[in-house]
Amino acid sequence: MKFNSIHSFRDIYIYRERERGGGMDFPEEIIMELLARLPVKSVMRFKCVSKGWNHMISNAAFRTTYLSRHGEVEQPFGFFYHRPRPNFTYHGPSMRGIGPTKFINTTNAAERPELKNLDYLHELGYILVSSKGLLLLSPDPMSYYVYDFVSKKHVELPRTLKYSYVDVGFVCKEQHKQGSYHLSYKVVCIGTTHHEHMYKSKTRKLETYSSETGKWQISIMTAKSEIGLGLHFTAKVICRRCVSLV
Amino acid sequence: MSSSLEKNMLILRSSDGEEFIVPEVVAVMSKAIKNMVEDECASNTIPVPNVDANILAMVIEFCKKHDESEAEAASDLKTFDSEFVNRGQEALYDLITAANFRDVKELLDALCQNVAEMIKGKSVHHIRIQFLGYQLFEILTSNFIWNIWCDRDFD
Repeated sequence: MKFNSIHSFRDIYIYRERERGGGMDFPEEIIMELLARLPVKSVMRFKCVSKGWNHMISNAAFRTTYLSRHGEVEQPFGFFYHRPRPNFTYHGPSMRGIGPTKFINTTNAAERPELKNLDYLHELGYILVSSKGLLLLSPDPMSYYVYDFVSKKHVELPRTLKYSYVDVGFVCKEQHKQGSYHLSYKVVCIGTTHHEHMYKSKTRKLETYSSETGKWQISIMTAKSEIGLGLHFTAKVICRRCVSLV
Repeated sequence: MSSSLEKNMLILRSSDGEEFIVPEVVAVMSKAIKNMVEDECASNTIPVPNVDANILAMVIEFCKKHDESEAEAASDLKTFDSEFVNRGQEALYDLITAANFRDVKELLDALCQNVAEMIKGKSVHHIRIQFLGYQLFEILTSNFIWNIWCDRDFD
């Protein structure tokens, strides 16, 4: 191949690859066909291949073709939906502004009668987070309940320090021990005692509860810039010993 | 020439000029050819551009087998399919392109299934190499451009 016949990298690629019989540059519809035959795990991994592939996989059209092929893909039971109160104003504690929660059942009600009525959940408090079928509920910033809404049992966690405002993270992990299925969870609280401290502090007290130890553990978090709770950062994600403020 | 042909026979001409005599039932497994025949816009000789003789022969072999064994056991056909698609990458590529272009659904199904099996457990990097020529791109961006610029005379 002469140098001046090269117009783009793609030209070279096609030329070389076709010469030695490797590499395939398929039109989009064939890639779609291929992806529709792969297991979910592979498809999700191949989102990272390129922007084009990511776009194709995220596309609603692809989702419908994929689901029609793999009909047995598990659908969620339903989802929680909460309406803010009519006089909703945001002031500090994230749990105060939230109104009553409704559970919307997406499966056939006759199939799962245990999900029919979830109104009694309000007796425990507001739903803050859910993870792998467990719910974290709280009536006030100091007391927390973990509720399994399939077995309809709840666990009361020990009370935390006295807070006026708190941000909570909740993560649940599945564990398989000798054939038995077991869920362990962790709750992380970042709170403040005084309202004025909310926006100006470089160090934060962090409380972590683990279902394995059954205790709250206090640790101190320091950051380079000020950590403002509530207004600057809201959601918390805990994963692999990290707390991220979003 | 058409008079010497049996009834319901078609001639398919590949891109490199070779001709294949095929019964019509087999040829119409390709939707593209079926449309041409139904609209009667084709004489007995149908050109099949973009597909060379080698690949066309394979496609015809596949279609013939499927046409014959329509009433036979499905498992028999399945083993034939899996043996048929077990080819090198280049042949697979050409076959898929041909099947897609001529719209042969059964063949495309069997081929896609095979390729899907191939790439199922592969890493993202591997897929990039195989489908996007990523490796070459990497090499080119690191060395190739650099060499052009470095070989220039800066005076």
